[in-house]
Amino acid sequence: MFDRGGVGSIRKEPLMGTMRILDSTGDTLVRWEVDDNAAVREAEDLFARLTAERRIPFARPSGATADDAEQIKAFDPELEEIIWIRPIAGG
Amino acid sequence: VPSVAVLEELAPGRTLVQIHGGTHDGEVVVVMGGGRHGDVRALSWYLDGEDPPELSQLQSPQDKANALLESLLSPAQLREWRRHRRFWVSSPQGQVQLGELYHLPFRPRATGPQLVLCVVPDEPINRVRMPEPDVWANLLLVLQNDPARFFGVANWRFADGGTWRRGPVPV
Repeated sequence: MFDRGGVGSIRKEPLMGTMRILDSTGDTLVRWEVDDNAAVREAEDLFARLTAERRIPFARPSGATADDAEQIKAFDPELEEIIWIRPIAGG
Repeated sequence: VPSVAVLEELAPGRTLVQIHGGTHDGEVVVVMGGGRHGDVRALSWYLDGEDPPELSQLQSPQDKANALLESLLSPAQLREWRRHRRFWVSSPQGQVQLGELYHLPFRPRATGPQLVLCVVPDEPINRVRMPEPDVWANLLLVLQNDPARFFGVANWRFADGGTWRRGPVPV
């Protein structure tokens, strides 16, 4: 299952991963089940596309603060949550 | 329904539609946020999906961004944010306050004058910008996890005035 929705209190299923992509809607949420190969492949493709757009992925255990987030380089379907931010620049 | 226009097929059984307001199936439909795409997408789930929408799917972009930001904050930062719409972030270089666009007070850890920084997410010019809480979530994650990058690109000036200078910040 490859799902999209909104941010907030997510009904967290076991063995599910999520990506939050910051954008003008607040964020776009993408979810996949770890044992669903097609959904994992789709999420992996999305990871590659977003990386090519110079967006930056951070992983965190579900509900953890920014202190516990870390930048990642590769897609791992078992990561609980990936937050995609934009590169930064001097304003 | 004549007052719904199909914008995009999202996936089998799910369609992105634009609602022009009014009465639908006997119920009055209210389009939140003046029909911005994020809200329209949430409503399309209500119309086409088999599952009832989660409350979070009906949140405005601003509320969604705020929920994500608050989930990233420490308890102390969360209290500051809810009270003043600003919060301090500690880094090896010093403390930066996030909350006011283009004006980020900076207290260097080393002895020296206080500075004001300016750093923003690098968004495409011709797109609708992310809501402001997303800006703070974006900057918070970089500052907390890669402060060298943050201080490397920040423009800065002395807190008591003067002209803006290009990064890196002298820390």
